Amino acid sequence: MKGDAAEAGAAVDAEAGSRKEKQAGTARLAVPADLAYLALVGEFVLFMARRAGFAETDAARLRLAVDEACANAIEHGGLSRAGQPLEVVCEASVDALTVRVADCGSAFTIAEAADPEVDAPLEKRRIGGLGLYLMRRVMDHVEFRPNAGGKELVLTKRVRPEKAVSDEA
Amino acid sequence: MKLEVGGDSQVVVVAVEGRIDAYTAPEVEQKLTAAVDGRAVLLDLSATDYISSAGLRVMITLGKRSRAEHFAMRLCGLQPSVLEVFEIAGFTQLFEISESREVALAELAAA
Repeated sequence: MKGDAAEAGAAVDAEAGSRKEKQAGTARLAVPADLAYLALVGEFVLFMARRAGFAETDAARLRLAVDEACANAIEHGGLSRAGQPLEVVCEASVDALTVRVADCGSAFTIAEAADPEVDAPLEKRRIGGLGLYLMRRVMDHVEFRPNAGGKELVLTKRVRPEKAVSDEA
Repeated sequence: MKLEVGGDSQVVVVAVEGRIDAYTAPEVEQKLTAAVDGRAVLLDLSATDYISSAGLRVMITLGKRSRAEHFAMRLCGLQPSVLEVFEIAGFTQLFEISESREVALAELAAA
């Protein structure tokens, strides 16, 4: 599957879940490890989020978190070097969507990442650290897990009524 | 992503359409860098439908340059999903943001 997907450029492999009220199911998108494909990944995530019952605001938050995860995987995860495609797996359950993004990079834990100082003045704002911070703010759970080829980032968000991020801090 | 540079003798207006993500941010940054010439800068994001941390980094770079080189910088027209990313990152405190291009130009003229 991996090789075929890389050759074809892009492939979507969807397994429809049982026909329950919520559209539970798993879908996998494999694209070349190239930042140009981030736009396509974004459309895929929006589609899956809407199908899983997320409101538009939360679907946009999911797209943001997965986009950040994929950009990291492409830029720092060693996929190109290993000749691996970027794979995004969306698993919808009745009440949540879990997205997994694998890369070939070294193990990493969330605790190693310092949050950026979001109230620092412009002169003191650092350029880095924003991507992971955004992911953590818009998702319910963010975790790095080691896997056979490197690590995977697992992002989970529960389906719920519209709610502002600022209310959740 | 499409980027248009316009304006007048006082203000350079840069309008970005589409996504500012890790793929397009380098081009946005390069074109912004080329457009900045000491006039005030207005970044019109009304047609920007997505921004990620890569886009925010471009804003930080331009913002720091505006402080260092003493030119005014303002943003306008942020769509709700783009504004939310700015809010989460604390960027609404870092930048002057107007609702529309007209309001932003009036505020720049009055400054």
